[in-house]
Amino acid sequence: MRNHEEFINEIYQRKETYLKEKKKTRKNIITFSVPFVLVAVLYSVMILPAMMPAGSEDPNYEADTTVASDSYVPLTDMCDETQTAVKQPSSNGSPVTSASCVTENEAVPTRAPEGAERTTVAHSVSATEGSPTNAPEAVKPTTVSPEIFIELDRAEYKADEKITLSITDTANVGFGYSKTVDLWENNGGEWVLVPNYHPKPAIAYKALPSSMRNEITVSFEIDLAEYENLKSGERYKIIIDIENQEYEAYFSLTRQ
Amino acid sequence: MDNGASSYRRFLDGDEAAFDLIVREYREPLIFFISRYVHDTCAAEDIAVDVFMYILVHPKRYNFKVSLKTYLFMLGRSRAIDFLRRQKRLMPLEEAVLSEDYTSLESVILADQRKKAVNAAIARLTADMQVAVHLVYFEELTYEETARVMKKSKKQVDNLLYRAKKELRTILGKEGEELL
Repeated sequence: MRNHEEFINEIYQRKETYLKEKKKTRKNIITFSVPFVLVAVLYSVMILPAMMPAGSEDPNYEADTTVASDSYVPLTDMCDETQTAVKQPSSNGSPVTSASCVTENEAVPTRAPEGAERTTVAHSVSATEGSPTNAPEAVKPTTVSPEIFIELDRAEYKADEKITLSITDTANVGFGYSKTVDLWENNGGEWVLVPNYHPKPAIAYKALPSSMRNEITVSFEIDLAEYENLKSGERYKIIIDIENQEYEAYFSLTRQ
Repeated sequence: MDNGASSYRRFLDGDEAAFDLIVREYREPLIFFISRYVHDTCAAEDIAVDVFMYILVHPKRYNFKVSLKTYLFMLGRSRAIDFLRRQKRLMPLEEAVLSEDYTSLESVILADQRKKAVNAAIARLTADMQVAVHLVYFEELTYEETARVMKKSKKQVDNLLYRAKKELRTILGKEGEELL
Protein backbone atom coordinates (compact mmCIF):
# COMPACT_ATOMS: atom_id res chain seq x y z
CA MET A 1 0.00 0.00 0.00
CA ARG A 2 1.13 3.52 -0.74
CA ASN A 3 2.05 5.83 2.06
CA HIS A 4 0.26 9.11 2.51
CA GLU A 5 2.62 11.19 0.35
CA GLU A 6 2.53 8.72 -2.50
CA PHE A 7 -1.22 8.57 -2.20
CA ILE A 8 -1.56 12.36 -2.41
CA ASN A 9 0.85 12.49 -5.37
CA GLU A 10 -1.14 9.80 -7.12
CA ILE A 11 -4.32 11.83 -6.62
CA TYR A 12 -2.80 14.97 -8.15
CA GLN A 13 -1.20 13.03 -10.96
CA ARG A 14 -4.47 11.36 -11.76
CA LYS A 15 -6.23 14.69 -11.67
CA GLU A 16 -3.85 16.04 -14.29
CA THR A 17 -4.38 13.00 -16.48
CA TYR A 18 -8.14 13.27 -16.04
CA LEU A 19 -8.19 16.93 -17.02
CA LYS A 20 -5.98 16.28 -20.03
CA GLU A 21 -8.23 13.43 -21.17
CA LYS A 22 -11.28 15.59 -20.71
CA LYS A 23 -9.75 18.38 -22.75
CA LYS A 24 -8.77 15.94 -25.46
CA THR A 25 -12.24 14.42 -25.55
CA ARG A 26 -13.82 17.85 -25.80
CA LYS A 27 -11.43 18.75 -28.62
CA ASN A 28 -12.25 15.51 -30.42
CA ILE A 29 -15.95 16.12 -30.11
CA ILE A 30 -15.59 19.59 -31.55
CA THR A 31 -13.30 18.36 -34.32
CA PHE A 32 -15.73 15.69 -35.40
CA SER A 33 -18.98 17.53 -34.83
CA VAL A 34 -18.15 20.80 -36.58
CA PRO A 35 -18.07 19.26 -40.09
CA PHE A 36 -21.34 17.47 -39.38
CA VAL A 37 -22.95 20.66 -38.21
CA LEU A 38 -21.65 22.51 -41.26
CA VAL A 39 -22.97 19.85 -43.60
CA ALA A 40 -26.34 19.89 -41.85
CA VAL A 41 -26.56 23.67 -42.04
CA LEU A 42 -25.56 23.73 -45.70
CA TYR A 43 -28.02 20.97 -46.45
CA SER A 44 -30.87 22.72 -44.75
CA VAL A 45 -30.04 26.14 -46.16
CA MET A 46 -29.10 25.29 -49.71
CA ILE A 47 -30.40 21.88 -50.67
CA LEU A 48 -33.68 21.52 -48.82
CA PRO A 49 -35.24 24.71 -50.15
CA ALA A 50 -34.34 23.65 -53.68
CA MET A 51 -36.12 20.38 -53.13
CA MET A 52 -39.29 22.03 -51.86
CA PRO A 53 -42.05 22.01 -54.46
CA ALA A 54 -43.69 25.19 -55.55
CA GLY A 55 -46.69 26.29 -53.54
CA SER A 56 -45.49 24.50 -50.45
CA GLU A 57 -46.03 27.61 -48.41
CA ASP A 58 -49.79 27.12 -48.57
CA PRO A 59 -50.86 26.99 -44.93
CA ASN A 60 -54.01 25.06 -45.80
CA TYR A 61 -52.01 22.27 -47.25
CA GLU A 62 -53.21 19.05 -45.75
CA ALA A 63 -52.73 15.39 -46.38
CA ASP A 64 -55.42 13.00 -47.39
CA THR A 65 -54.36 9.93 -49.24
CA THR A 66 -57.41 7.83 -48.60
CA VAL A 67 -59.36 6.25 -51.36
CA ALA A 68 -62.86 7.51 -50.96
CA SER A 69 -65.15 4.75 -51.86
CA ASP A 70 -68.01 6.82 -50.57
CA SER A 71 -67.52 9.28 -53.34
CA TYR A 72 -68.70 6.75 -55.83
CA VAL A 73 -71.33 8.28 -58.05
CA PRO A 74 -73.25 6.08 -60.45
CA LEU A 75 -73.00 6.92 -64.06
CA THR A 76 -76.67 7.66 -64.35
CA ASP A 77 -76.28 10.46 -61.87
CA MET A 78 -73.54 12.20 -63.69
CA CYS A 79 -73.81 11.18 -67.26
CA ASP A 80 -75.11 14.50 -68.37
CA GLU A 81 -72.50 16.36 -66.50
CA THR A 82 -69.76 14.27 -67.96
CA GLN A 83 -71.07 14.54 -71.38
CA THR A 84 -70.98 18.24 -71.21
CA ALA A 85 -67.62 18.15 -69.62
CA VAL A 86 -65.82 16.78 -72.64
CA LYS A 87 -65.06 19.61 -74.84
CA GLN A 88 -63.18 20.30 -77.94
CA PRO A 89 -59.75 21.46 -76.95
CA SER A 90 -59.25 24.99 -78.04
CA SER A 91 -56.36 27.27 -78.49
CA ASN A 92 -58.01 30.21 -76.86
CA GLY A 93 -55.73 30.34 -73.92
CA SER A 94 -57.60 27.82 -71.85
CA PRO A 95 -55.51 25.18 -70.15
CA VAL A 96 -56.37 22.80 -72.93
CA THR A 97 -53.32 21.46 -74.64
CA SER A 98 -52.68 18.75 -77.13
CA ALA A 99 -52.71 15.10 -76.27
CA SER A 100 -49.18 14.21 -76.45
CA CYS A 101 -49.36 10.48 -76.92
CA VAL A 102 -52.34 10.35 -79.21
CA THR A 103 -51.59 8.76 -82.50
CA GLU A 104 -52.63 10.16 -85.80
CA ASN A 105 -56.32 9.39 -85.59
CA GLU A 106 -56.61 10.19 -81.92
CA ALA A 107 -58.45 13.38 -82.45
CA VAL A 108 -61.58 11.62 -81.42
CA PRO A 109 -61.50 12.64 -77.79
CA THR A 110 -61.84 16.16 -78.90
CA ARG A 111 -65.11 15.32 -80.51
CA ALA A 112 -66.95 15.71 -77.33
CA PRO A 113 -70.46 17.07 -77.11
CA GLU A 114 -70.83 20.66 -77.86
CA GLY A 115 -71.78 23.10 -75.19
CA ALA A 116 -69.65 21.75 -72.40
CA GLU A 117 -69.40 24.18 -69.55
CA ARG A 118 -66.23 23.06 -67.93
CA THR A 119 -62.81 23.50 -69.28
CA THR A 120 -61.42 20.29 -70.50
CA VAL A 121 -57.84 19.32 -70.48
CA ALA A 122 -57.23 16.39 -72.67
CA HIS A 123 -54.45 14.15 -71.54
CA SER A 124 -54.06 11.06 -73.46
CA VAL A 125 -52.31 7.88 -72.73
CA SER A 126 -52.81 5.97 -75.83
CA ALA A 127 -51.26 3.07 -77.51
CA THR A 128 -53.02 1.12 -80.19
CA GLU A 129 -54.95 3.18 -82.52
CA GLY A 130 -57.45 1.92 -84.98
CA SER A 131 -57.31 -1.77 -85.21
CA PRO A 132 -56.59 -3.52 -81.97
CA THR A 133 -54.46 -5.95 -83.84
CA ASN A 134 -51.89 -3.23 -84.31
CA ALA A 135 -48.90 -3.63 -82.09
CA PRO A 136 -49.42 -1.39 -79.07
CA GLU A 137 -47.06 1.43 -78.54
CA ALA A 138 -45.37 1.90 -75.26
CA VAL A 139 -47.69 3.41 -72.72
CA LYS A 140 -46.38 6.81 -71.82
CA PRO A 141 -47.89 9.35 -69.54
CA THR A 142 -49.01 12.58 -71.02
CA THR A 143 -47.58 15.79 -69.80
CA VAL A 144 -50.24 18.29 -70.60
CA SER A 145 -50.22 19.68 -67.17
CA PRO A 146 -46.68 19.87 -65.84
CA GLU A 147 -47.85 18.65 -62.49
CA ILE A 148 -50.26 15.79 -63.13
CA PHE A 149 -49.84 12.73 -65.31
CA ILE A 150 -52.21 9.88 -65.81
CA GLU A 151 -51.09 6.58 -67.15
CA LEU A 152 -52.43 3.11 -67.82
CA ASP A 153 -50.31 0.12 -67.11
CA ARG A 154 -50.83 -1.22 -70.62
CA ALA A 155 -52.34 -0.23 -73.90
CA GLU A 156 -54.26 -3.43 -74.54
CA TYR A 157 -56.48 -5.42 -72.30
CA LYS A 158 -58.73 -8.40 -72.50
CA ALA A 159 -62.36 -7.94 -71.62
CA ASP A 160 -62.03 -9.64 -68.26
CA GLU A 161 -58.86 -7.90 -67.15
CA LYS A 162 -58.26 -5.06 -64.81
CA ILE A 163 -56.84 -1.76 -65.83
CA THR A 164 -54.50 -0.06 -63.44
CA LEU A 165 -54.72 3.66 -63.76
CA SER A 166 -52.06 5.75 -62.06
CA ILE A 167 -52.28 9.43 -61.42
CA THR A 168 -48.99 11.07 -60.61
CA ASP A 169 -48.83 14.46 -59.08
CA THR A 170 -45.23 15.52 -59.62
CA ALA A 171 -45.31 18.88 -57.93
CA ASN A 172 -47.66 17.74 -55.25
CA VAL A 173 -50.26 20.21 -56.27
CA GLY A 174 -52.81 17.99 -54.67
CA PHE A 175 -56.23 17.06 -55.87
CA GLY A 176 -59.36 16.30 -53.99
CA TYR A 177 -62.13 13.88 -54.69
CA SER A 178 -62.46 12.79 -58.21
CA LYS A 179 -66.00 11.75 -58.83
CA THR A 180 -65.96 10.95 -62.45
CA VAL A 181 -64.05 8.06 -63.85
CA ASP A 182 -65.86 7.41 -67.05
CA LEU A 183 -65.45 4.84 -69.74
CA TRP A 184 -66.19 5.89 -73.26
CA GLU A 185 -66.33 3.88 -76.43
CA ASN A 186 -65.80 4.90 -79.99
CA ASN A 187 -69.06 4.42 -81.75
CA GLY A 188 -68.60 5.04 -85.42
CA GLY A 189 -66.16 7.83 -84.90
CA GLU A 190 -68.09 9.39 -82.04
CA TRP A 191 -67.27 8.86 -78.45
CA VAL A 192 -70.18 7.79 -76.31
CA LEU A 193 -70.37 6.69 -72.72
CA VAL A 194 -70.35 2.99 -72.15
CA PRO A 195 -73.66 2.09 -70.56
CA ASN A 196 -73.80 0.35 -67.21
CA TYR A 197 -70.41 1.60 -66.32
CA HIS A 198 -69.82 1.71 -62.61
CA PRO A 199 -66.68 3.57 -61.75
CA LYS A 200 -65.60 1.88 -58.61
CA PRO A 201 -62.74 3.68 -57.02
CA ALA A 202 -63.03 7.35 -56.91
CA ILE A 203 -59.84 9.00 -55.88
CA ALA A 204 -59.31 11.07 -52.86
CA TYR A 205 -55.97 12.58 -52.56
CA LYS A 206 -54.93 15.87 -51.21
CA ALA A 207 -51.53 17.33 -50.93
CA LEU A 208 -49.22 16.22 -48.25
CA PRO A 209 -47.70 18.47 -45.62
CA SER A 210 -44.84 20.57 -46.86
CA SER A 211 -42.28 18.27 -45.27
CA MET A 212 -43.52 15.39 -47.44
CA ARG A 213 -44.18 17.24 -50.64
CA ASN A 214 -42.80 15.39 -53.51
CA GLU A 215 -44.02 13.34 -56.37
CA ILE A 216 -46.91 11.12 -55.39
CA THR A 217 -48.78 8.53 -57.39
CA VAL A 218 -52.27 7.27 -56.71
CA SER A 219 -53.29 4.10 -58.51
CA PHE A 220 -56.57 2.31 -58.77
CA GLU A 221 -58.06 -0.49 -60.78
CA ILE A 222 -60.89 -0.61 -63.22
CA ASP A 223 -62.28 -4.09 -63.60
CA LEU A 224 -63.35 -4.51 -67.18
CA ALA A 225 -65.16 -7.74 -66.33
CA GLU A 226 -67.76 -5.69 -64.59
CA TYR A 227 -68.83 -3.96 -67.75
CA GLU A 228 -71.03 -5.71 -70.14
CA ASN A 229 -70.97 -5.31 -73.85
CA LEU A 230 -67.35 -4.32 -74.18
CA LYS A 231 -66.31 -5.33 -77.63
CA SER A 232 -63.07 -6.85 -78.66
CA GLY A 233 -61.14 -4.85 -81.12
CA GLU A 234 -62.69 -1.63 -80.02
CA ARG A 235 -60.93 1.34 -78.61
CA TYR A 236 -62.04 2.86 -75.37
CA LYS A 237 -61.09 5.85 -73.41
CA ILE A 238 -61.19 6.69 -69.78
CA ILE A 239 -61.96 10.19 -68.73
CA ILE A 240 -61.10 11.16 -65.23
CA ASP A 241 -62.08 14.38 -63.66
CA ILE A 242 -59.50 15.86 -61.36
CA GLU A 243 -60.26 19.17 -59.81
CA ASN A 244 -62.58 20.14 -62.65
CA GLN A 245 -60.09 19.21 -65.27
CA GLU A 246 -60.49 16.13 -67.34
CA TYR A 247 -57.73 13.77 -68.20
CA GLU A 248 -58.00 11.04 -70.76
CA ALA A 249 -56.35 7.71 -71.33
CA TYR A 250 -56.95 5.30 -74.18
CA PHE A 251 -56.81 1.56 -74.45
CA SER A 252 -57.95 -1.22 -76.71
CA LEU A 253 -59.62 -4.49 -76.09
CA THR A 254 -58.00 -7.45 -77.75
CA ARG A 255 -59.91 -10.26 -79.31
CA GLN A 256 -60.55 -13.22 -77.12
CA MET B 1 -17.72 16.51 15.41
CA ASP B 2 -18.29 17.84 11.90
CA ASN B 3 -16.99 14.74 10.09
CA GLY B 4 -14.63 16.77 7.91
CA ALA B 5 -17.03 19.53 6.86
CA SER B 6 -14.83 22.31 8.26
CA SER B 7 -11.76 20.86 6.50
CA TYR B 8 -13.73 20.69 3.32
CA ARG B 9 -14.81 24.32 3.65
CA ARG B 10 -11.18 25.31 4.03
CA PHE B 11 -10.34 23.17 1.02
CA LEU B 12 -13.03 24.98 -0.97
CA ASP B 13 -11.44 28.24 0.08
CA GLY B 14 -8.24 27.09 -1.57
CA ASP B 15 -6.40 25.66 1.41
CA GLU B 16 -4.46 22.70 -0.01
CA ALA B 17 -3.42 21.60 3.44
CA ALA B 18 -7.08 21.01 4.23
CA PHE B 19 -7.32 18.54 1.38
CA ASP B 20 -4.23 16.83 2.70
CA LEU B 21 -5.92 16.61 6.06
CA ILE B 22 -9.08 15.12 4.56
CA VAL B 23 -7.06 12.47 2.76
CA ARG B 24 -5.07 11.72 5.88
CA GLU B 25 -8.25 11.31 7.91
CA TYR B 26 -10.38 9.28 5.50
CA ARG B 27 -7.94 7.38 3.31
CA GLU B 28 -7.68 4.23 5.38
CA PRO B 29 -11.33 3.91 6.42
CA LEU B 30 -12.32 4.45 2.79
CA ILE B 31 -9.92 1.82 1.45
CA PHE B 32 -11.05 -0.57 4.15
CA PHE B 33 -14.68 0.07 3.29
CA ILE B 34 -14.13 -0.32 -0.46
CA SER B 35 -12.24 -3.54 0.07
CA ARG B 36 -15.45 -4.94 1.57
CA TYR B 37 -16.84 -4.77 -1.94
CA VAL B 38 -13.85 -5.53 -4.13
CA HIS B 39 -11.94 -7.87 -1.83
CA ASP B 40 -8.72 -6.51 -3.17
CA THR B 41 -6.77 -3.91 -1.24
CA CYS B 42 -4.83 -2.65 -4.26
CA ALA B 43 -8.02 -2.17 -6.23
CA ALA B 44 -9.64 -0.56 -3.21
CA GLU B 45 -6.73 1.84 -2.91
CA ASP B 46 -6.99 2.65 -6.59
CA ILE B 47 -10.69 3.36 -6.24
CA ALA B 48 -10.00 5.52 -3.18
CA VAL B 49 -7.55 7.57 -5.27
CA ASP B 50 -10.34 8.04 -7.79
CA VAL B 51 -12.71 9.17 -5.08
CA PHE B 52 -10.32 11.80 -3.78
CA MET B 53 -9.45 12.85 -7.30
CA TYR B 54 -13.17 13.31 -7.96
CA ILE B 55 -13.63 15.68 -5.05
CA LEU B 56 -10.49 17.51 -6.13
CA VAL B 57 -11.84 17.98 -9.68
CA HIS B 58 -15.45 18.63 -8.69
CA PRO B 59 -15.17 20.23 -5.27
CA LYS B 60 -18.50 22.01 -5.47
CA ARG B 61 -20.55 18.89 -5.97
CA TYR B 62 -20.47 18.19 -2.26
CA ASN B 63 -23.45 20.03 -0.81
CA PHE B 64 -22.81 19.53 2.92
CA LYS B 65 -26.20 17.86 3.36
CA VAL B 66 -24.47 14.70 4.48
CA SER B 67 -21.23 14.35 6.38
CA LEU B 68 -18.06 14.30 4.31
CA LYS B 69 -17.40 10.76 5.46
CA THR B 70 -20.81 9.64 4.20
CA TYR B 71 -20.20 11.44 0.92
CA LEU B 72 -16.82 9.78 0.46
CA PHE B 73 -18.28 6.38 1.27
CA MET B 74 -21.12 6.96 -1.18
CA LEU B 75 -18.61 7.79 -3.91
CA GLY B 76 -16.48 4.83 -2.88
CA ARG B 77 -19.41 2.43 -3.00
CA SER B 78 -20.56 3.50 -6.46
CA ARG B 79 -17.04 3.27 -7.83
CA ALA B 80 -16.52 -0.10 -6.21
CA ILE B 81 -19.68 -1.38 -7.84
CA ASP B 82 -18.56 0.04 -11.18
CA PHE B 83 -15.25 -1.69 -10.72
CA LEU B 84 -16.92 -5.01 -9.98
CA ARG B 85 -19.14 -4.58 -12.98
CA ARG B 86 -16.14 -3.95 -15.15
CA GLN B 87 -14.25 -6.84 -13.73
CA LYS B 88 -17.35 -9.05 -13.82
CA ARG B 89 -16.02 -10.47 -10.70
CA LEU B 90 -18.24 -11.02 -7.74
CA MET B 91 -16.05 -13.04 -5.52
CA PRO B 92 -17.69 -14.31 -2.35
CA LEU B 93 -15.88 -13.32 0.78
CA GLU B 94 -15.02 -16.90 1.61
CA GLU B 95 -12.91 -17.04 -1.52
CA ALA B 96 -11.36 -13.65 -1.03
CA VAL B 97 -7.66 -13.52 -0.65
CA LEU B 98 -6.99 -10.95 1.95
CA SER B 99 -3.56 -9.54 1.48
CA GLU B 100 -1.09 -8.40 4.09
CA ASP B 101 -2.18 -4.87 3.34
CA TYR B 102 -5.67 -5.78 4.40
CA THR B 103 -4.37 -7.21 7.66
CA SER B 104 -2.41 -4.08 8.35
CA LEU B 105 -5.39 -1.92 7.46
CA GLU B 106 -7.54 -4.03 9.72
CA SER B 107 -5.15 -3.51 12.57
CA VAL B 108 -5.17 0.25 11.95
CA ILE B 109 -8.93 0.61 11.62
CA LEU B 110 -9.92 -2.05 14.11
CA ALA B 111 -7.55 -1.32 16.90
CA ASP B 112 -10.06 -2.62 19.32
CA GLN B 113 -9.75 -6.37 19.86
CA ARG B 114 -13.48 -6.76 20.14
CA LYS B 115 -13.98 -5.16 16.73
CA LYS B 116 -11.45 -7.55 15.22
CA ALA B 117 -13.45 -10.48 16.52
CA VAL B 118 -16.63 -9.05 15.03
CA ASN B 119 -14.86 -8.37 11.72
CA ALA B 120 -13.81 -12.00 11.53
CA ALA B 121 -17.34 -13.11 12.27
CA ILE B 122 -19.12 -10.86 9.79
CA ALA B 123 -17.28 -12.57 6.96
CA ARG B 124 -20.01 -15.19 7.22
CA LEU B 125 -22.79 -12.68 6.68
CA THR B 126 -24.27 -11.65 3.36
CA ALA B 127 -22.57 -8.82 1.49
CA ASP B 128 -25.26 -6.26 2.40
CA MET B 129 -25.16 -7.23 6.05
CA GLN B 130 -21.39 -6.95 6.06
CA VAL B 131 -21.51 -3.44 4.63
CA ALA B 132 -24.25 -2.37 7.04
CA VAL B 133 -22.39 -3.73 10.06
CA HIS B 134 -19.18 -2.22 8.80
CA LEU B 135 -20.64 1.24 8.45
CA VAL B 136 -22.58 1.25 11.69
CA TYR B 137 -20.28 -0.73 13.89
CA PHE B 138 -16.81 0.15 12.63
CA GLU B 139 -17.30 3.54 11.01
CA GLU B 140 -19.90 4.62 13.53
CA LEU B 141 -22.19 6.12 10.96
CA THR B 142 -25.82 6.64 11.89
CA TYR B 143 -28.56 4.50 10.38
CA GLU B 144 -29.56 7.42 8.13
CA GLU B 145 -26.00 7.86 6.90
CA THR B 146 -25.63 4.12 6.39
CA ALA B 147 -28.86 4.08 4.43
CA ARG B 148 -27.59 6.92 2.23
CA VAL B 149 -24.29 5.19 1.54
CA MET B 150 -26.00 1.89 0.75
CA LYS B 151 -28.80 3.57 -1.19
CA LYS B 152 -31.38 1.85 0.94
CA SER B 153 -34.11 3.07 3.24
CA LYS B 154 -33.50 3.46 6.92
CA LYS B 155 -35.96 0.65 7.56
CA GLN B 156 -34.05 -1.68 5.25
CA VAL B 157 -30.81 -0.89 7.07
CA ASP B 158 -32.59 -1.47 10.35
CA ASN B 159 -33.77 -4.86 9.17
CA LEU B 160 -30.36 -5.77 7.81
CA LEU B 161 -28.69 -4.92 11.07
CA TYR B 162 -31.29 -6.76 13.10
CA ARG B 163 -30.73 -9.92 11.08
CA ALA B 164 -26.96 -9.40 11.08
CA LYS B 165 -26.90 -9.12 14.83
CA LYS B 166 -29.05 -12.21 15.18
CA GLU B 167 -26.69 -14.19 12.97
CA LEU B 168 -23.62 -12.79 14.68
CA ARG B 169 -25.00 -13.87 18.02
CA THR B 170 -25.33 -17.37 16.64
CA ILE B 171 -21.81 -17.25 15.20
CA LEU B 172 -20.09 -15.69 18.17
CA GLY B 173 -22.12 -17.45 20.84
CA LYS B 174 -22.17 -16.12 24.31
CA GLU B 175 -19.04 -14.12 23.70
CA GLY B 176 -20.81 -12.31 20.91
CA GLU B 177 -23.55 -11.14 23.17
CA GLU B 178 -20.99 -9.06 24.99
CA LEU B 179 -19.24 -7.87 21.84
CA LEU B 180 -22.42 -6.54 20.30
